[in-house]
Amino acid sequence: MNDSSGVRLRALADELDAAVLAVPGVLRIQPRLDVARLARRVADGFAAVRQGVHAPGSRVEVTVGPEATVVSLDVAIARDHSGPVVARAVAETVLLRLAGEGLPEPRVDVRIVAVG
Amino acid sequence: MSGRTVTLERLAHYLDSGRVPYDPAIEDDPENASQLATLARLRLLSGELLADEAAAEPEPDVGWIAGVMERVRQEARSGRDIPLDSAGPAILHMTEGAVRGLIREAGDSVAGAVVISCSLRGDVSVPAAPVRVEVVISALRGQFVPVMADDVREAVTLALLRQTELDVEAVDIVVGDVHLLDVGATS
Repeated sequence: MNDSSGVRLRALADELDAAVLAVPGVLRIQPRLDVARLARRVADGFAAVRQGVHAPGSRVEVTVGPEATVVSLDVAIARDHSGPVVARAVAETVLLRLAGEGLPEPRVDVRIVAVG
Repeated sequence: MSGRTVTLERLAHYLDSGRVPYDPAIEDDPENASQLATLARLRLLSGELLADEAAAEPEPDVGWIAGVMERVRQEARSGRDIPLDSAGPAILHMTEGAVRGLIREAGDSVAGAVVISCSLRGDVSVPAAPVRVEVVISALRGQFVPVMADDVREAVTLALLRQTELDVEAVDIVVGDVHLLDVGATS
Protein backbone atom coordinates (compact mmCIF):
# COMPACT_ATOMS: atom_id res chain seq x y z
CA MET A 1 0.00 0.00 0.00
CA ASN A 2 1.45 3.37 -0.89
CA ASP A 3 1.19 6.31 1.48
CA SER A 4 -1.46 8.25 -0.42
CA SER A 5 -3.87 5.35 -0.79
CA GLY A 6 -3.37 4.42 2.87
CA VAL A 7 -4.11 7.95 4.02
CA ARG A 8 -7.15 8.14 1.77
CA LEU A 9 -8.53 4.86 3.02
CA ARG A 10 -7.90 5.82 6.63
CA ALA A 11 -9.79 9.07 6.09
CA LEU A 12 -12.63 7.14 4.46
CA ALA A 13 -12.71 4.68 7.36
CA ASP A 14 -12.91 7.56 9.82
CA GLU A 15 -15.75 9.15 7.86
CA LEU A 16 -17.63 5.85 7.79
CA ASP A 17 -17.03 5.48 11.53
CA ALA A 18 -18.66 8.86 12.19
CA ALA A 19 -21.54 8.18 9.78
CA VAL A 20 -22.31 4.80 11.38
CA LEU A 21 -22.21 6.22 14.90
CA ALA A 22 -24.87 8.72 13.79
CA VAL A 23 -27.29 5.93 12.82
CA PRO A 24 -30.06 5.76 15.45
CA GLY A 25 -29.65 2.70 17.63
CA VAL A 26 -25.90 2.30 17.19
CA LEU A 27 -24.25 2.43 20.60
CA ARG A 28 -20.67 1.92 19.51
CA ILE A 29 -18.41 0.36 16.92
CA GLN A 30 -16.04 -2.29 18.16
CA PRO A 31 -12.80 -3.30 16.53
CA ARG A 32 -13.04 -6.69 14.90
CA LEU A 33 -10.35 -8.99 16.20
CA ASP A 34 -7.68 -9.96 13.70
CA VAL A 35 -8.42 -13.67 14.00
CA ALA A 36 -12.11 -12.98 13.43
CA ARG A 37 -11.29 -10.88 10.37
CA LEU A 38 -9.20 -13.64 8.90
CA ALA A 39 -11.83 -16.28 9.62
CA ARG A 40 -14.53 -14.16 8.00
CA ARG A 41 -12.51 -13.61 4.86
CA VAL A 42 -11.86 -17.31 4.56
CA ALA A 43 -15.47 -18.21 5.29
CA ASP A 44 -16.98 -15.67 2.94
CA GLY A 45 -14.51 -16.09 0.14
CA PHE A 46 -13.63 -12.48 -0.24
CA ALA A 47 -11.08 -13.44 -2.86
CA ALA A 48 -11.77 -10.27 -4.75
CA VAL A 49 -10.05 -8.20 -2.08
CA ARG A 50 -7.25 -10.59 -1.25
CA GLN A 51 -4.65 -8.44 -2.91
CA GLY A 52 -6.26 -5.19 -1.85
CA VAL A 53 -5.14 -2.23 0.22
CA HIS A 54 -6.39 -1.87 3.74
CA ALA A 55 -6.99 1.07 6.07
CA PRO A 56 -5.09 0.18 9.24
CA GLY A 57 -5.88 1.21 12.80
CA SER A 58 -9.57 1.88 12.36
CA ARG A 59 -12.63 0.30 13.94
CA VAL A 60 -14.15 0.20 10.47
CA GLU A 61 -12.20 -2.05 8.16
CA VAL A 62 -12.01 -0.85 4.57
CA THR A 63 -10.27 -3.07 2.05
CA VAL A 64 -10.05 -2.15 -1.61
CA GLY A 65 -9.20 -4.85 -4.13
CA PRO A 66 -9.22 -5.00 -7.90
CA GLU A 67 -12.82 -6.22 -8.05
CA ALA A 68 -14.46 -5.06 -4.84
CA THR A 69 -14.35 -2.70 -1.90
CA VAL A 70 -15.32 -4.41 1.34
CA VAL A 71 -16.28 -2.54 4.52
CA SER A 72 -16.51 -4.69 7.65
CA LEU A 73 -17.58 -3.56 11.09
CA ASP A 74 -18.90 -4.84 14.41
CA VAL A 75 -21.55 -2.79 16.20
CA ALA A 76 -23.30 -2.75 19.54
CA ILE A 77 -27.00 -1.91 19.34
CA ALA A 78 -29.21 -0.11 21.83
CA ARG A 79 -31.76 -2.43 23.41
CA ASP A 80 -34.67 -0.16 22.57
CA HIS A 81 -34.02 -0.51 18.85
CA SER A 82 -34.54 -3.48 16.55
CA GLY A 83 -31.19 -5.07 15.78
CA PRO A 84 -32.02 -6.11 12.19
CA VAL A 85 -33.46 -2.69 11.40
CA VAL A 86 -30.37 -0.93 12.74
CA ALA A 87 -28.03 -3.32 10.90
CA ARG A 88 -29.80 -2.55 7.62
CA ALA A 89 -29.62 1.17 8.28
CA VAL A 90 -25.89 0.86 8.94
CA ALA A 91 -25.38 -1.05 5.69
CA GLU A 92 -27.37 1.52 3.73
CA THR A 93 -25.40 4.35 5.29
CA VAL A 94 -22.09 2.75 4.36
CA LEU A 95 -23.14 1.91 0.81
CA LEU A 96 -24.53 5.39 0.28
CA ARG A 97 -21.28 6.93 1.49
CA LEU A 98 -19.21 4.67 -0.77
CA ALA A 99 -21.34 5.35 -3.83
CA GLY A 100 -19.58 8.57 -4.66
CA GLU A 101 -16.04 7.35 -4.14
CA GLY A 102 -15.47 5.72 -7.51
CA LEU A 103 -14.13 2.59 -5.83
CA PRO A 104 -14.58 -0.99 -7.10
CA GLU A 105 -17.93 -2.66 -6.33
CA PRO A 106 -18.85 -1.80 -2.73
CA ARG A 107 -19.83 -4.54 -0.28
CA VAL A 108 -20.54 -4.22 3.42
CA ASP A 109 -20.39 -6.75 6.24
CA VAL A 110 -22.21 -5.64 9.42
CA ARG A 111 -22.18 -7.79 12.51
CA ILE A 112 -24.07 -7.10 15.75
CA VAL A 113 -21.85 -8.17 18.63
CA ALA A 114 -23.83 -6.80 21.56
CA VAL A 115 -27.25 -5.46 22.51
CA GLY A 116 -27.20 -3.26 25.54
CA MET B 1 -12.18 -15.38 24.51
CA SER B 2 -11.54 -11.73 23.74
CA GLY B 3 -8.02 -11.75 25.20
CA ARG B 4 -8.90 -8.62 27.17
CA THR B 5 -10.68 -10.28 30.04
CA VAL B 6 -10.71 -8.32 33.29
CA THR B 7 -11.23 -9.68 36.77
CA LEU B 8 -14.50 -9.74 38.63
CA GLU B 9 -12.93 -7.52 41.30
CA ARG B 10 -12.05 -4.90 38.71
CA LEU B 11 -15.60 -5.02 37.37
CA ALA B 12 -16.94 -4.56 40.90
CA HIS B 13 -14.66 -1.58 41.55
CA TYR B 14 -15.64 -0.03 38.24
CA LEU B 15 -19.29 -0.40 39.15
CA ASP B 16 -18.58 1.12 42.57
CA SER B 17 -17.02 4.14 40.85
CA GLY B 18 -20.20 4.77 38.88
CA ARG B 19 -18.48 3.60 35.66
CA VAL B 20 -16.38 6.77 35.72
CA PRO B 21 -13.91 7.33 34.14
CA TYR B 22 -15.05 5.38 31.10
CA ASP B 23 -13.05 2.17 30.79
CA PRO B 24 -12.94 0.97 27.17
CA ALA B 25 -11.36 -2.33 28.22
CA ILE B 26 -14.61 -3.10 29.98
CA GLU B 27 -17.26 -1.17 28.10
CA ASP B 28 -16.05 -1.96 24.56
CA ASP B 29 -15.49 -5.67 25.10
CA PRO B 30 -18.57 -7.92 24.72
CA GLU B 31 -17.48 -10.39 27.42
CA ASN B 32 -16.59 -7.75 29.97
CA ALA B 33 -19.60 -5.57 29.16
CA SER B 34 -21.94 -8.54 29.60
CA GLN B 35 -20.41 -9.38 32.94
CA LEU B 36 -20.67 -5.78 34.05
CA ALA B 37 -24.34 -5.62 33.09
CA THR B 38 -25.08 -8.86 34.91
CA LEU B 39 -23.22 -7.75 38.01
CA ALA B 40 -25.17 -4.49 38.03
CA ARG B 41 -28.48 -6.37 37.75
CA LEU B 42 -27.51 -8.81 40.48
CA ARG B 43 -26.57 -5.99 42.80
CA LEU B 44 -29.89 -4.33 42.19
CA LEU B 45 -31.68 -7.57 43.01
CA SER B 46 -29.53 -8.05 46.08
CA GLY B 47 -30.46 -4.62 47.36
CA GLU B 48 -34.13 -5.39 46.92
CA LEU B 49 -33.79 -8.66 48.79
CA LEU B 50 -31.81 -7.21 51.66
CA ALA B 51 -34.53 -4.63 52.12
CA ASP B 52 -36.79 -7.55 52.92
CA GLU B 53 -36.01 -8.72 56.45
CA ALA B 54 -37.45 -12.16 55.83
CA ALA B 55 -34.98 -12.70 53.03
CA ALA B 56 -31.93 -11.89 55.09
CA GLU B 57 -31.91 -14.91 57.40
CA PRO B 58 -30.41 -17.97 55.67
CA GLU B 59 -26.71 -18.07 54.77
CA PRO B 60 -25.97 -16.82 51.24
CA ASP B 61 -23.93 -19.00 48.89
CA VAL B 62 -20.87 -16.88 48.10
CA GLY B 63 -19.66 -19.18 45.31
CA TRP B 64 -22.96 -18.97 43.49
CA ILE B 65 -22.39 -15.48 42.12
CA ALA B 66 -18.94 -16.43 40.85
CA GLY B 67 -20.50 -19.36 39.03
CA VAL B 68 -23.11 -17.16 37.39
CA MET B 69 -20.46 -14.65 36.32
CA GLU B 70 -18.32 -17.36 34.79
CA ARG B 71 -21.30 -18.55 32.77
CA VAL B 72 -21.87 -14.98 31.60
CA ARG B 73 -18.26 -14.79 30.46
CA GLN B 74 -18.51 -18.07 28.57
CA GLU B 75 -21.78 -17.19 26.92
CA ALA B 76 -20.67 -13.69 25.90
CA ARG B 77 -18.05 -15.15 23.60
CA SER B 78 -18.95 -14.58 20.00
CA GLY B 79 -19.92 -18.15 19.11
CA ARG B 80 -21.65 -18.75 15.82
CA ASP B 81 -22.63 -16.01 13.41
CA ILE B 82 -26.40 -15.83 13.01
CA PRO B 83 -27.48 -14.46 9.64
CA LEU B 84 -29.98 -11.64 9.26
CA ASP B 85 -32.01 -11.29 6.10
CA SER B 86 -29.82 -9.47 3.62
CA ALA B 87 -29.36 -9.22 -0.10
CA GLY B 88 -27.12 -7.68 -2.70
CA PRO B 89 -23.93 -6.12 -1.48
CA ALA B 90 -24.77 -6.34 2.24
CA ILE B 91 -24.04 -9.22 4.58
CA LEU B 92 -25.74 -8.80 7.96
CA HIS B 93 -25.47 -11.02 10.99
CA MET B 94 -25.28 -11.06 14.75
CA THR B 95 -23.17 -13.16 17.03
CA GLU B 96 -24.55 -15.95 19.16
CA GLY B 97 -22.96 -14.17 22.12
CA ALA B 98 -25.05 -11.07 21.43
CA VAL B 99 -28.22 -13.18 21.32
CA ARG B 100 -27.35 -14.92 24.57
CA GLY B 101 -26.73 -11.53 26.13
CA LEU B 102 -30.15 -10.24 25.23
CA ILE B 103 -31.79 -13.47 26.46
CA ARG B 104 -29.99 -13.06 29.76
CA GLU B 105 -30.99 -9.42 30.06
CA ALA B 106 -34.62 -10.20 29.23
CA GLY B 107 -34.74 -13.01 31.79
CA ASP B 108 -33.03 -10.98 34.48
CA SER B 109 -35.56 -8.20 33.95
CA VAL B 110 -38.28 -10.38 35.51
CA ALA B 111 -38.64 -9.73 39.23
CA GLY B 112 -36.98 -12.46 41.28
CA ALA B 113 -35.41 -14.31 38.36
CA VAL B 114 -31.70 -14.68 37.67
CA VAL B 115 -30.62 -16.36 34.45
CA ILE B 116 -28.02 -19.02 35.18
CA SER B 117 -27.42 -20.11 31.60
CA CYS B 118 -29.01 -20.11 28.19
CA SER B 119 -28.48 -22.10 25.04
CA LEU B 120 -29.66 -22.06 21.45
CA ARG B 121 -30.42 -25.48 20.03
CA GLY B 122 -30.58 -25.83 16.28
CA ASP B 123 -28.53 -24.71 13.34
CA VAL B 124 -28.67 -20.98 13.91
CA SER B 125 -26.26 -20.39 11.05
CA VAL B 126 -28.95 -21.47 8.56
CA PRO B 127 -31.64 -18.83 7.88
CA ALA B 128 -35.16 -19.88 8.97
CA ALA B 129 -33.96 -23.08 10.64
CA PRO B 130 -36.08 -23.83 13.73
CA VAL B 131 -34.37 -23.03 17.01
CA ARG B 132 -35.21 -24.04 20.57
CA VAL B 133 -34.05 -21.84 23.39
CA GLU B 134 -33.39 -23.21 26.85
CA VAL B 135 -33.05 -20.81 29.74
CA VAL B 136 -32.03 -22.05 33.17
CA ILE B 137 -33.01 -19.66 35.93
CA SER B 138 -32.56 -19.34 39.64
CA ALA B 139 -35.71 -18.26 41.39
CA LEU B 140 -35.13 -15.88 44.25
CA ARG B 141 -37.14 -16.52 47.36
CA GLY B 142 -40.42 -14.77 47.68
CA GLN B 143 -41.60 -15.16 44.10
CA PHE B 144 -44.23 -17.61 42.88
CA VAL B 145 -42.13 -19.80 40.60
CA PRO B 146 -44.65 -20.89 37.93
CA VAL B 147 -45.67 -17.30 37.24
CA MET B 148 -42.04 -16.20 37.22
CA ALA B 149 -41.15 -18.89 34.70
CA ASP B 150 -43.99 -17.80 32.42
CA ASP B 151 -42.89 -14.17 32.72
CA VAL B 152 -39.31 -15.10 31.81
CA ARG B 153 -40.54 -17.08 28.79
CA GLU B 154 -42.60 -14.12 27.62
CA ALA B 155 -39.78 -11.61 28.14
CA VAL B 156 -37.26 -13.78 26.30
CA THR B 157 -39.65 -14.46 23.43
CA LEU B 158 -40.40 -10.77 22.99
CA ALA B 159 -36.70 -9.86 23.06
CA LEU B 160 -35.87 -12.46 20.43
CA LEU B 161 -38.74 -11.31 18.23
CA ARG B 162 -37.61 -7.72 18.48
CA GLN B 163 -33.87 -8.15 18.13
CA THR B 164 -33.36 -11.22 15.94
CA GLU B 165 -34.82 -13.02 12.97
CA LEU B 166 -34.56 -16.46 14.52
CA ASP B 167 -37.39 -18.92 13.91
CA VAL B 168 -37.97 -19.71 17.56
CA GLU B 169 -39.81 -23.00 17.92
CA ALA B 170 -39.97 -22.89 21.71
CA VAL B 171 -38.51 -21.19 24.76
CA ASP B 172 -38.03 -23.74 27.52
CA ILE B 173 -37.56 -22.47 31.06
CA VAL B 174 -35.82 -24.67 33.61
CA VAL B 175 -35.86 -23.58 37.24
CA GLY B 176 -32.47 -24.75 38.44
CA ASP B 177 -32.77 -23.70 42.04
CA VAL B 178 -34.35 -21.32 44.51
CA HIS B 179 -31.85 -18.95 45.98
CA LEU B 180 -30.89 -16.02 48.13
CA LEU B 181 -28.36 -13.49 46.98
CA ASP B 182 -25.55 -11.40 48.44
CA VAL B 183 -23.65 -9.73 45.65
CA GLY B 184 -21.70 -7.58 48.09
CA ALA B 185 -19.44 -10.59 48.61
CA THR B 186 -17.91 -10.04 45.17
CA SER B 187 -16.62 -6.52 45.73
